[in-house]
Amino acid sequence: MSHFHPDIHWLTEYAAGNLSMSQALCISVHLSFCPKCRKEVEQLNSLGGMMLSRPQAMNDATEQPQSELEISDSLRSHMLDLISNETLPNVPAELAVETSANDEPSNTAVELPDCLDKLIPNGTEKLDWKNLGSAVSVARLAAGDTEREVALHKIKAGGRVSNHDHKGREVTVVLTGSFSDQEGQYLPGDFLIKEPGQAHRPIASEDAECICLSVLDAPVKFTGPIARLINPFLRIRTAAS
Amino acid sequence: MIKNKDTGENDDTNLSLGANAAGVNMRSAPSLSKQKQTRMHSTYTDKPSIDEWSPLLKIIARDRDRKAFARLFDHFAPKIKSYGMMLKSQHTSAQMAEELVQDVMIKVWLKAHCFDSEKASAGTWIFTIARNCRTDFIRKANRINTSLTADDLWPMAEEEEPFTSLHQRRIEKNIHSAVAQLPAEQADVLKRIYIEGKSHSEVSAATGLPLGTVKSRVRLAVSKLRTLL
Repeated sequence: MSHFHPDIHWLTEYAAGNLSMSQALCISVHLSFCPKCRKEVEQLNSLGGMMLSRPQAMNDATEQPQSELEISDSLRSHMLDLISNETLPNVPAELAVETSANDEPSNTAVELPDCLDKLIPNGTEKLDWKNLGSAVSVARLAAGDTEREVALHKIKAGGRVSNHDHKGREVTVVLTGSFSDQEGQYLPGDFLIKEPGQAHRPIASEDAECICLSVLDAPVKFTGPIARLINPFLRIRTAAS
Repeated sequence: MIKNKDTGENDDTNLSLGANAAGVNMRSAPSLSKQKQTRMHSTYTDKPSIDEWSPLLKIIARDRDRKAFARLFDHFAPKIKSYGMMLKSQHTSAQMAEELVQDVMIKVWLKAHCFDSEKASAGTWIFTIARNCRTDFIRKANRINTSLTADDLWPMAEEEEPFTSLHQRRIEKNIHSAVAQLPAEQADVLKRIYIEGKSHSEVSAATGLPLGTVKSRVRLAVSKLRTLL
C-alpha cells in the first residue's frame, strides 16, 4: 500500500488524457500499486464520460467557435459508408494481437507493472545501466518523450545519493525496494515530485537495492555530446549543502 | 447515511443506490459473501441502463444498426472533434480533429460488442476510446519513437469483482446528477479539461484565470462530486 499519491490534479490530467505519455506512465505505475487511486481514476473517467454525454450547453463560454466544431456532411456520410462496408473486420486485428502479447509469462526476477513490459521486455537486469558514482546507476528508457528524460534509477542497498537539486521537475515512482529522504520513506508504488530547488539526499534501505522510475522535465538542453559523456547526470546538479 | 436522490429514500448501507436499482434488499447483508455478490450482479444486468446512450450502443452491437450509429455519431462527433482541436501538425487542427473523430467512431462501431454496460456508461466508454485514440494520434503525428501505446498507459478496467461494477454503476448514476448541480464556473473548467482536452495550464492560458484558480475549481468540483458519491 503506497503512502505517497499523485494529487487530484495529476489524476484528473491523467484521466482526461492531458499528460505526456511519460508522465501518464508514472501515474499508471502508481495505479498498479494503489487501489485507492484506481478508484479515483474510475470516478474521474466517469466524469469525462458525463461531460461527453451531456447535451451541448448553448451558453458555454469557449474559445472554440461552434462553426469549427460542426461535422461536415461529407465526414458524416463517409462514416456511414465506412460502417456499411462489408470488408470491415468485426474485430480489429490489433486487438487480438494485444491480448496474446499481454499473456506472456514474465521471466524477470522482479515483477514489474504491466505498463513497463514494452519498455523493459527482458527485465531490469538486461537494461543498459550506467554508473553514476558508487551508489547509483541509471538506465534510460525509450518512452519517446522529447521534452523529458525517462529513466530507471537504481540505488544499491544502503547506498547514499549525494545531496542534489534538479533543473526541472522530477517525478519518481518506486518500483522495488525503498529509499528515504528528509520527507519520509518511499515504498513500491510511492509517487513523489521534486520541484527545482527541492534538494534531497536519498538513501536506499539496507536490506535491498531500490529501483525507481523517474521522469524529469528537461528545459535545459545538453550543450553537446561531450557534456553528456562527461556527466550523464548533468541534469542533476549537486546542491550546496 | 446516504440520501437517494432519485427516490428520496434514505438507506443505511453505502450500496443503497445500486441495491435498490437491482431490486435487492441489502440492509440485512452488511458483509457480502462472494455468492451473494454474484447473485446481486446477475440481477442487476436485467435492469435498464442509467444513461440514454448505453441502450443505443447495445443495439449497435447486436443489430449493427446504422441508424442507431448515426444518432450516436451526431451527438458524440462534435465533442470528439472539440477534444481533437488541440492536435497540432502541418494540417489545420480542424482536419486533424476530424481524423480523430473518424478513428474514434470507427472503433466505437467495431468494438461495440466489447461494451459492457455494467462496467461503465456508454459516455465513459467512448470517452476512454477518444482519449486513447488521441494519445496514439499525437504519438504517430509527431513520429514519437516508442513502443508504448495508449492501451499500455490506461489499461481497461479488468476488475472482475461484481461489487466493483455495481459500485461503478452507482458512481456513474451519481456523477450524472452531480455534474448538473455544479456551479457554472466549475463545470466550465471541467469542460475545457475533458472536452477541449486542455491541461490545467492550457486552461489558465486560454481563460486568463490564474493557474491556482483553475486548480481550485477542479479541486472544488471533484470534492463536491465526491460528497455525492
